[in-house]
Amino acid sequence: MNSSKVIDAKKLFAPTQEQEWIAQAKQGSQTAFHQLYEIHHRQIYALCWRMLADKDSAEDVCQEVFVVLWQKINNFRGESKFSTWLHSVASNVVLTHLRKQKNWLQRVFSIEQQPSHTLPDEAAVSLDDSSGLEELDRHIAKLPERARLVFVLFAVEGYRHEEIARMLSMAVGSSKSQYHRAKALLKESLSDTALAGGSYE
Amino acid sequence: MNKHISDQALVSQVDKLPKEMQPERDLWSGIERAIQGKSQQSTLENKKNNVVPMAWAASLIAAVLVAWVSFAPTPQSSTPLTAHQVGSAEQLVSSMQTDFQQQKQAMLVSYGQPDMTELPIKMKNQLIELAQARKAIEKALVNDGNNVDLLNLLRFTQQQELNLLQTLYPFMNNKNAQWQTI
Repeated sequence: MNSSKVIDAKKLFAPTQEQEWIAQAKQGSQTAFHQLYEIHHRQIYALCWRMLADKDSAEDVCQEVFVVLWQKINNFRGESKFSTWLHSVASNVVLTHLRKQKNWLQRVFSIEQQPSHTLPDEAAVSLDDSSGLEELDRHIAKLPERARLVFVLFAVEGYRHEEIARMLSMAVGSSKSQYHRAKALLKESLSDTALAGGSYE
Repeated sequence: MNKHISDQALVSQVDKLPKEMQPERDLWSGIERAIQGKSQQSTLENKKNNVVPMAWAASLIAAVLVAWVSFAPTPQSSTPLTAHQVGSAEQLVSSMQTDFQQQKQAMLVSYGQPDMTELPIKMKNQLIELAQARKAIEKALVNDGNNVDLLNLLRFTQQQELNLLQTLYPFMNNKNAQWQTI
């Protein structure tokens, strides 16, 4: 019996194929760009959804991310993985979108100053909704905006607090405290759901 | 009774979150429409980078010239030139002008005698500014033909004008060039 390792050709050749599509997209090939979209758009949509907590905005911003990607793809120099670079482009597009949504008053009075136990009324997802979302995602969507952004960027996307602080124009300490705040709120709301007979363990 | 959720349980749930979500509507058609009209950035920026230094050079020359015309000593105050000196200075200026005109003409011919009116206003203005600067220096040299600084300034201005033409006209002949983005 041949005990040699079975090689997964799909995994082996996918990065090479992706490199080729990136190179072609840089030359202006929309077909190659479409292939990149097919590979990455679900992940980017998930990132947009989690940061924005709203389906329609997430879809719009996901489109915007790929339009920006088309314009900036020549800036990708291959120093990091393409997906890592794309996620940073996407995070920045989402944050720019959020900044544009706020009026000057909201920008002056930071959302950091929201009372720590008040969840936003306008949260788009109800906790008992059956949209197919993970239960934790529904609870994340209910977090106050800044706590949610820090939580998603740190816990889900894997950014460091220093990077998050830079992206959100806040102190590193604020990023850490927002993360702890998000954790506490999540644990509290998950506990409540469990007590009310939810499925969370 | 309170059901406590530990940090570890939360981290474990985060790790289990799906990496991907499927948008409900088709996003590609909108993206495709949006990118039809948008060119990719760095290619355009390269073109832009070629023109912006020219604009700076043109402005710098204009500023130096204004300063020169305002503060330069009048010819009457300098030492009078001998007839021979005046003659050789005039010859030098005249030869520089001829040389410049020949180079410029050769360049325009090589680009198929492009029509200057097709240039965007901004570019046209820069060319006009450089040409005016050159003419003003030539005029100043009529009275002060031995002034080395003025001669150098004339040579520099002529070169800038040629460089600007060299940058602008190939783009003008290229029908795909997007002038409005420069």
